[in-house]
Amino acid sequence: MAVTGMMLIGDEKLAARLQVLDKEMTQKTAEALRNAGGEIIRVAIPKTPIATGELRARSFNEGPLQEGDKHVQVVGFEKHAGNWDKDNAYAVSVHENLEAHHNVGEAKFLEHGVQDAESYLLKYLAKEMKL
Amino acid sequence: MTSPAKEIADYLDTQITGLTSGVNLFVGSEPNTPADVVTVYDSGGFAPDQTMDGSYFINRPTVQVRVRNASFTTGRSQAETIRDTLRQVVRQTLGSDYYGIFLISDIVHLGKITTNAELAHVWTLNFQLIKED
Repeated sequence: MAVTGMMLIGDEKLAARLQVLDKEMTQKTAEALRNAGGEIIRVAIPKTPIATGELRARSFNEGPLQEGDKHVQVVGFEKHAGNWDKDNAYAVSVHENLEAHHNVGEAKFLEHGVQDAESYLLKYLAKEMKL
Repeated sequence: MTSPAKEIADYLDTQITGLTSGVNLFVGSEPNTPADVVTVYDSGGFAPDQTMDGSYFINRPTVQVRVRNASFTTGRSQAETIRDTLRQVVRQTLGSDYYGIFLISDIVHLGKITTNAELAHVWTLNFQLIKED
């Protein structure tokens, strides 16, 4: 006898369960990404130079933004700098100037924060998403 | 001593017409004059990857290339040439053995600064290098 088709008993339940799992995983992924972004800022803040303290207060951790299957967490400084007067935004200049001397903090404060946190954040994200 | 910035500067010297070490191409410190210079800096990097027994390391340092030029057009063009030259490096020996060079941020214009010579525009480019120990 030839097999011409197959019916999975309980397929509606399975589909419903998969939808629940998908939602739970999305929430878990979002939470893990928010935590990872927060950790990068936590590591970057002590590295951020202080003149007035204003720069440290301009950090942000936003997201995750979801585009299809892609989740993006955005961390940085001076989120709205593009709309500011030119002289009011200086995070990029401070970040990129490797010859400036800072009594507190350093250039590349955000980049070095990412580098310092990379190894354990990748493990954390993999664990939270059960990869 | 193996400074990735020095190896990258030496490579740029050989690859880009008009860039000469000690004349308008420097490592680690940008001179006040001339106004039109390129400087390469070691800027840290990610922790090395290593084999389980610790016998073999893949280093992941980062370098910053800073372009300063009185002319916006010339400087921007020079930054693009540097970007395009370095990102073509795959499995090459530049002093050390490099697996590849990757942009980690594109060309950033930092505005104009005053040098001893004149006002000049400044751009930076940042690269991650993948190289053997």
